[in-house]
Amino acid sequence: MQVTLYVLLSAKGSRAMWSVAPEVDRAYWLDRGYRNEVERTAKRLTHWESQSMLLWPELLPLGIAVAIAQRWPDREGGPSSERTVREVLGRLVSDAWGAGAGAQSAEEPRASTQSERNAQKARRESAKSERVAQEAKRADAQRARRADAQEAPVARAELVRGASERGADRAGARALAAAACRAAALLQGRALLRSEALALLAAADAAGPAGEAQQAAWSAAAPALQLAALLGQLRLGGAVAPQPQPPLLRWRLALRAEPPRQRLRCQRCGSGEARMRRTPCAVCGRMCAYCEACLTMGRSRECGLLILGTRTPASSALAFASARALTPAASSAPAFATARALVSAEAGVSAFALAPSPAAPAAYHPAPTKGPQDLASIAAASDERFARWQLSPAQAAAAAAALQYIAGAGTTAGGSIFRRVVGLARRLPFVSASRQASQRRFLLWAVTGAGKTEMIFPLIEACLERGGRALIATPRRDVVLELDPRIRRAFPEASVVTLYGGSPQRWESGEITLATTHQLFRFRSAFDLVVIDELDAFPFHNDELLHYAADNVCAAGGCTVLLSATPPAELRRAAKRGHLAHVRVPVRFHRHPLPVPALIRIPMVRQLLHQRRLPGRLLDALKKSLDRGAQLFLFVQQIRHVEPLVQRLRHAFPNIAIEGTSSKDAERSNKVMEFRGRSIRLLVTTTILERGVTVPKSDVFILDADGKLFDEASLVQMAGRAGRSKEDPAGRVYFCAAVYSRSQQAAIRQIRSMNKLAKRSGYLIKK
Amino acid sequence: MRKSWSQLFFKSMHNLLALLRPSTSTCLICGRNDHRTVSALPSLCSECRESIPWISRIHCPICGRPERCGDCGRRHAAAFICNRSAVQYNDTIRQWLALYKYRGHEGLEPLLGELLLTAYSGLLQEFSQRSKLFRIDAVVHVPVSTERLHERGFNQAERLAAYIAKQSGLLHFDILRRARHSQKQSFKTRGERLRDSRELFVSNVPAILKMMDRLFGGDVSAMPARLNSGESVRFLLVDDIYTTGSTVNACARAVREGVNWAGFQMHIEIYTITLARS
Repeated sequence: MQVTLYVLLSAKGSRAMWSVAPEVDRAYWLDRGYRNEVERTAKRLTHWESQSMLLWPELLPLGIAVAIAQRWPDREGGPSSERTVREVLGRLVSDAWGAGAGAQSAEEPRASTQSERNAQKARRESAKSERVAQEAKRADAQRARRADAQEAPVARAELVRGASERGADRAGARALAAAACRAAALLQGRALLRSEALALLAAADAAGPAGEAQQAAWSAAAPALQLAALLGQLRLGGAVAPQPQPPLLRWRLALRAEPPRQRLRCQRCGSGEARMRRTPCAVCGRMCAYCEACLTMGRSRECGLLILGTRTPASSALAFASARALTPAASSAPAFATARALVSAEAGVSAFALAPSPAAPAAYHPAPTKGPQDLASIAAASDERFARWQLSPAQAAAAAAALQYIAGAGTTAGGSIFRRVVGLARRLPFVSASRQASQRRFLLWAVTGAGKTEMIFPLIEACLERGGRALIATPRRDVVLELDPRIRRAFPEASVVTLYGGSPQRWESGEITLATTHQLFRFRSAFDLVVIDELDAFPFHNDELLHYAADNVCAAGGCTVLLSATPPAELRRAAKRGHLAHVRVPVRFHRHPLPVPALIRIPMVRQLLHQRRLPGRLLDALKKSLDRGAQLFLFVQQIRHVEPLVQRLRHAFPNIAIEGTSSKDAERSNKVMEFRGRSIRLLVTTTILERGVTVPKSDVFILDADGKLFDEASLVQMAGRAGRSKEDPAGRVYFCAAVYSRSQQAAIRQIRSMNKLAKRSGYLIKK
Repeated sequence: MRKSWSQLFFKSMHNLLALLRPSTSTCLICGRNDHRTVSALPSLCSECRESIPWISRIHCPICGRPERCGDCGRRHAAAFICNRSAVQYNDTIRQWLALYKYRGHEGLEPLLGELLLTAYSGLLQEFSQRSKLFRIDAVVHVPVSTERLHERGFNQAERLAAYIAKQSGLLHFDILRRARHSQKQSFKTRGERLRDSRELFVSNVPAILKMMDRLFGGDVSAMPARLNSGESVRFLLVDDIYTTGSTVNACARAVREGVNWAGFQMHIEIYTITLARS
């Protein structure tokens, strides 16, 4: 989109800004009466006194305007005389256009016909000198054109002087201010592209859920958004914008050196130059970059607007209170309710950050490695709190530890110096700022089948009690859909919003938000409690962008709780070294130990399929499991192995219902249902069923357990499918492989150590 | 001589460096890594490459459909000679085009351009057999409305036309305008489309004058000589999807009218190529 660039002049200096609704800026900065009115409505004061304003006469692409506003010499030292301002402005604009134009002209020579090429070839020998002359002429023309471009608009730039009394429309100002406050309240904690913000505002305006919201026109929403930005309630910026120059490098600009090439960064997903693609853009009329990384969430462009709902307690809470006073008619709209929830959340933050929870015992050590006895005592202390959730002792202890960490305002002791160093280092240009070092994170490492979801209920409850907003994010959409009814049942009086691609609740906000990790790109500093479930699962694992999104959604003073049965090595290391507060839940909810895998030595599946018979050792074990009436998971590595293996097994066990499934199977969910219902007894599958599936009385066979696709985490997860029910806690697990590989050893070691810890802590049921 | 040596040097350096480069490439569509490298459509993995529903045998000589065609019989007078499409419009192509047009994944441009290029070369081959002198004079594209252009940031037909022009050394002109902003074609029935697309396009006369100037090298007097020889001026009209043919027909009519309006009485032939035939 295109915006208006202007420079404010005052006695103290100057300041370049841009606007999507310049008439609002003009009134705000130059008409004191208007500003007083607006600020009284929004309960906010600014200290900038401007005397006049230099408006650039043409609309500029957003990217250029943002870059110029960013590069404008510092506020205090900025030029204050009109002549220098014009000079600097002209130079910056022509620089910015020049950079874009250079890229474009490289793209321009589109085509030349065959005839033209022939003609050129003929000419080439004879008139070399002519061509040189021609080129010089063209360069001259270009230079002249550029000079024109930079001279003319600067000369035409209009200087508007301020006036204290202009008889501005007072009622209009008040209404606009109220609209701005309302928009800001609705957009709090969000990071939205222009079209998304319009959709959200339209959805809020539509009365009732039935009203299919008409997309509000941008021109109607722009003044309110611009005013909200001027009042500091929102931040408007380019969706793809240059990285701010680190202070260390600013001296180069001061010395009038060539400005360094701007490195672009997607402000929504945080990806850098590598994921930018520059294309000629019809909207801004130049080469304009867009971010390829987060394309699935709508296109984030250099000339596209990103609206960030910054959450500054002073502004929004007061602001909305006044907006409510002004527009009582709006109280029936659903938007109003959400906004009110936001305000109460605002009040909650301070309580959250300042006062430690009364439930938390005083003797809490921030050191993350805690003895299990310690945890048991904490659990006893807060028993009554957990009674409602019917947690097992291990669950209660872990929940108590997490709760205490959340309530305690401090970060872990081990991390502080390290973090300070990182904090310093982040200001250097070469250190990536993608991770927020100051963030508080807590790892809840619970074995498979421990009842992780129940453990987070008390955390959510505590967060809601303080008026905070909670988020539960997980990489998988089906997990979100499965969690939804459980959360609604557990918190019947709270408003729950479930977000995933194509969710009908897309633009709502509530006390509890359930979302896939991709949806987190649309939030910024929004939640006081962030729970990330299955953080080691695809696609969250190894995806920098999703990590960036998850790091950004947690509000200041909030806390992130990471849930996993198999945390990645990096987190385990951090936990071991004391950089990451954590608690381990070594036992399942039914308080029986995890089944330890047994080994069966058989050849690789690839070879098995060439042999006449399946090996007797495998068939014996399968038969024993079938005889005891168990449901059998049989994991293989390759999709192409599923069908042949199913054939072989059907041949070996003609009376047993055997099916196979994989990610390419359309019948997948049906087959899993039938498997749960015991009409299928043996299911051959790939890693798609490695997590999230609970089948009572099941045994697990992992073929090719030495293959490279099965790492320690996935072996532990697959082994975790066995023995999950109270009725049959001792399921059987077999690693079938030719080699006893390192990851098998590590998986067995991990399972054994969890069992040992459970026994030592006295969590296991005595036989 | 010296030039050829240096060319040889750079070529061999390029090949040598290629040895160091990883041989895997990430598929543009599905993001999977593929080890096999092939010369045709190297940006795709073998699976995606095989999923392209090429139109290899043309059944309807007018619209280039691979099966029997009812539409072309129903049309009274087509303003274009024929249409050729590269692929059938099935789910795969629908997804690819949606990724490109609606999601704005402009990285697909070379891929789609390459697909369209096969339609162009097919057309060229077919008509060269009939007449040795066959060649296209200018490439034009189907325009979109300003609103749509601002919403998307680009006109897919214009980009594809530019790609064709660049790859085959033709001249590309922007001579058509959309008279009004109509609903998306994909939401309409056949009857509505036929009714709506009449008078939807107008040509830009100054742009046509400029184009003629460029085509005939500023020498308008040379024109009659060429026209008297019985040769006609041939346009290549580019669009992304051909459904009923009403859009390209209206555009072709607009081109004819525009050229006549601008004061050129000449024989015009308009051929269209589209990426997908639905």
